[in-house]
Amino acid sequence: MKNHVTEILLVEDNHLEAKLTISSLKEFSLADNLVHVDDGAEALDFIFARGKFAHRLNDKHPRVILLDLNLPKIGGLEVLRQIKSNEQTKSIPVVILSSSNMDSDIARAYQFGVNSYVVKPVDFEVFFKAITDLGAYWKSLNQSHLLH
Amino acid sequence: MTAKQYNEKTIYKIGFFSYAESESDKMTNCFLLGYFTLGLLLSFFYNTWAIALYSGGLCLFAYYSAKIILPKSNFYQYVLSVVLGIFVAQYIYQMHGLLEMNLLAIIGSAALVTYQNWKLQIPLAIVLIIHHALFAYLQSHGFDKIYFTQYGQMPEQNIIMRGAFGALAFFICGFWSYRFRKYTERTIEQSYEIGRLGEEKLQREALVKLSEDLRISNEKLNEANYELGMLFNNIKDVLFSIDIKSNRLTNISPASAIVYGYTPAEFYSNPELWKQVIHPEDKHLLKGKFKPLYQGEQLRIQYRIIHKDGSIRCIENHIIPTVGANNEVMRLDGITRDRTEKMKAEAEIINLNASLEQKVLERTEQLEAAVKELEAFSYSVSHDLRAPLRVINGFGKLLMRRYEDKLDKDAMESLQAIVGNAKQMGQLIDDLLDFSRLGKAPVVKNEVDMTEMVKSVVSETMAFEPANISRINLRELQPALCDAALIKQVWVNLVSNAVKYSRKRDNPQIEIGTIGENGHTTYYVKDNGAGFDMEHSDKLFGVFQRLHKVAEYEGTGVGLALVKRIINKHGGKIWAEGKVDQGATFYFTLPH
Repeated sequence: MKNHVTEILLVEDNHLEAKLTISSLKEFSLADNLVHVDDGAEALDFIFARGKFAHRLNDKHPRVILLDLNLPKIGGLEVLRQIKSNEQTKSIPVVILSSSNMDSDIARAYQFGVNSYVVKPVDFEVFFKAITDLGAYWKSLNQSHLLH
Repeated sequence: MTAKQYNEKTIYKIGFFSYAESESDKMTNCFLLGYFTLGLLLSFFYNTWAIALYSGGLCLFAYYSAKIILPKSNFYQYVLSVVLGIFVAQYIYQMHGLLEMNLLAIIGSAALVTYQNWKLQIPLAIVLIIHHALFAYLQSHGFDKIYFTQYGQMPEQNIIMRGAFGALAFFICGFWSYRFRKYTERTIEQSYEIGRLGEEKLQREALVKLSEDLRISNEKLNEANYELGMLFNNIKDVLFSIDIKSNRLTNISPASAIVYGYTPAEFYSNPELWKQVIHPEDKHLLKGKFKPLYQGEQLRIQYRIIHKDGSIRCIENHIIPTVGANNEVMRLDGITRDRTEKMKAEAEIINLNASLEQKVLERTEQLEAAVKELEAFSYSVSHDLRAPLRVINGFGKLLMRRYEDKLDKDAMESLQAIVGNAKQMGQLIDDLLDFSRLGKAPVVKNEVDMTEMVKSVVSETMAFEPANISRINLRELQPALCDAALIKQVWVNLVSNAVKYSRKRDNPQIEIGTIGENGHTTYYVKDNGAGFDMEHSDKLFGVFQRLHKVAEYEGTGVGLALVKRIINKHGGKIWAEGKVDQGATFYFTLPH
């Protein structure tokens, strides 16, 4: 069933922030096939179809992963490292959405092979614009991908 | 009179007499030659050649033989006396018994006076007495072999007269010889005494001067000796001398009682003492070290000793050898210094250094830990403080967006306040993080084209400016040696400040330029905006210090603090001049 293909995996422990992100994506109808998980462990379970996501078919990867860095259980950078070091999952685009603008975090994220790093601004207007730009970009990319 | 003076006088006398004798000998040579020649002359008249030649020749031979064989003795003078007697007899025989030839004996006797020895008269007298006695005896016994003329019996009166005259002549000549000698001796003694007295006077004067000089130098020597003695007895270091030949300690100063604890007497009585006091662990330090001393090289050596009181002391010995004429070391002189306190101080310094290093390490660790904590704190500030602000701002905006038509103006204004303040606080946090991050970043200096840099800053600033009416007058700027990224931040802050505060003017004017040349360049940004009261100029560059209300001019109060921090990190200066409503000028310098 095409409808059940997950377009976006959002990894965010702060539910209010997640709601803001989802709200922004909804404005462009990008949140229809979005899955939200609370921590790094759950994110890895989903991606590798383990634990409570064991029923998921292994080959159906999300189109894009929006990843926070400061996560409970397993940190965002570790999640990123595991995705990018696995042959089957390393091609999934990963965008880090983080409050941290620390140089060391940014450098390590790129070192692990992140596709994009977005520092979440306090001003919602700017945030909204960043998210929608991102969503539109990936959507267009995916559509062109589907055509082939 | 000392023995020396006696000897001198005798030598002086002998010298004079030997000179007189050699003069007399010369006269004697002529005299004897005359006698011999007289014998030959008589032979012409009386045909007595055999007597003249044999007797005269034998006489000459006897005289010169005695003189040559015993040159140092006056024996030849006695021979001469005998020879003169024989010559008289010879002439009597040659003249055929003419006894008047006895007169010649008086001449000979007188000639002997020149030797100034009355005893010389005796042999001549004996020869004549024996000759005349023998002659008279032979005649009276009728010995006819006597071939000269017979005189017959001589009257007794005549014989006594002749004998008396002869004896008188000998006596007078002998007496003269004696007197002559005595007189000569006295003259010699007097002249010697006179000479000696003159010499003595000169000598005495010289001696007086010499003794005066000697007295002065002696005094000086005594003084020096006294000072040296004081030094030797009171110096804190031990002075010592060793005689190499006897291998004995000849001198050691009283300080040994302090440095070693042993008195000089103890060192003199025990020649091995200096070895016995060496710390057992340091004995190896001295092995073979003394050899170079015997080749004339100095030795400086440091080792530990055990003091008489049992404590361990560190001493330094400096030994200087003295080399004699035959290139052999004669004596050693040394000085022993107690180095214990110095060594202790040095050890203390080493200890202190070590503990200082330890402390520095500890402090560094503490500092590093503090820095890490601060980093963790900044991280949580940047992450955890911004998240709730974002949520407040975000949901506020969502409310305004979705319920714009349902909310009244008052509610919308309240929402705007919430959203705006959240945004403001987010900005504040970002500025603060920039400010603290700047403290850690090192300054990387490069040659920077300031004109180009300010041009791009101006265009970037004006791009976000809604009312782009400011007129910016950018002059040519001196290049600078600085960190490009940091100094760009300075220009961004100063230019945007100038734009911000002059925005409300009818004719905003901003001027950017430099004052001064090479190495003393001052950059400035001048505006004709709101300005400030110089009374509050000290608050200008403080964090969170603002001279204007947020409602009038937006801002967090971090910008100028950041600028000051960057300029300070470069070693430069920043200051400002201004008047309320008459604009402000910001100056800064960068060292070359």
